[in-house]
Amino acid sequence: MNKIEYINLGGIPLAIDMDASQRLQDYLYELDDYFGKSDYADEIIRDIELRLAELIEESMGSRKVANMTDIEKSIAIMGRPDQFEQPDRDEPGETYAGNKESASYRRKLYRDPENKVIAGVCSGIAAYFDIDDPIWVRLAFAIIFFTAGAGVLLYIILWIVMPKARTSIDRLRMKGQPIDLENIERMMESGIDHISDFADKVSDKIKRKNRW
Amino acid sequence: MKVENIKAQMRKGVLELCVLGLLSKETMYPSDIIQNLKKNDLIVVEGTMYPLLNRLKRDGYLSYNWVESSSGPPRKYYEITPKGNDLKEELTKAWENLAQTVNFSNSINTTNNE
Repeated sequence: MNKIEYINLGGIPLAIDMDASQRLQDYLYELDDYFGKSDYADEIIRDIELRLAELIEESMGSRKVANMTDIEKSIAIMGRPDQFEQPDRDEPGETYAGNKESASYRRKLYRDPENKVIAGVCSGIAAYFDIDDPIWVRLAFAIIFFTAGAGVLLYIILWIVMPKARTSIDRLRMKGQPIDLENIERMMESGIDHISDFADKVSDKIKRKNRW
Repeated sequence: MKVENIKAQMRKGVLELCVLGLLSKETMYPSDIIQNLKKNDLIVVEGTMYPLLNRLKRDGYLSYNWVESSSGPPRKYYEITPKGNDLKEELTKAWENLAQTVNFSNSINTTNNE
């Protein structure tokens, strides 16, 4: 048994298997990231959605519910964003490439559990501002601490406020890198997810022990 | 792999001209444009076309009308604008020059080799 979902894709209503719907959703997120945020990006994505719906309907034939094969086939025809043959446009401000760096891959401030001394606040800030070595941020915090004494409080507040970079996508956002399959795959391969989860569990345990 | 890249670059360069050329004959729905270009191996994936059409429209070379369709939601039919026609003329000239030069230099090379 497979649950189905009703979706509206580009104005065309479709019944679709849950897993296939998830696959479609992921693909649309990929497109979102590729085109960035702007009025014309929305328009392009609407056009693509409509075409996808047509392709899916074509692939379904007389069947009533779209399945994974229909989705995979349609996505293959539409192509992944890295297959879109865009002419290289180097006028600044107008291009998708320009968007890529500023708008669509907006950085987010996360704590970096990979390079942490206490909670990863400083290394997170360093990643956000593209500072090569978090030592400079740590040094700044240390100076604030010794001169004004507010450093500890500031650190604790940031610790509370900044979310931890838990997943590969968080880590890419933290560094302002494009969230595409290639980068995620790279991170998966290096096993960062598992290691960081494990490290977090251990550190949480230690923290709890210290508290009591 | 390298060869494929070069071919892709070549296609990218002439894609705009081909779209303008198609639309100078008749107004078309994106899927028709895509079918046409795919048939001639000018595009590999359909996704290439949507940002390109959008850019040509934003730059004023194309415009579109919504046309009701018997099945499903209304469709966008693209047509070429006077500005788009000017661009097409200019690109056609550039293409002809380029094609001539490329063919000419290749034919010189072959005669030299003989």
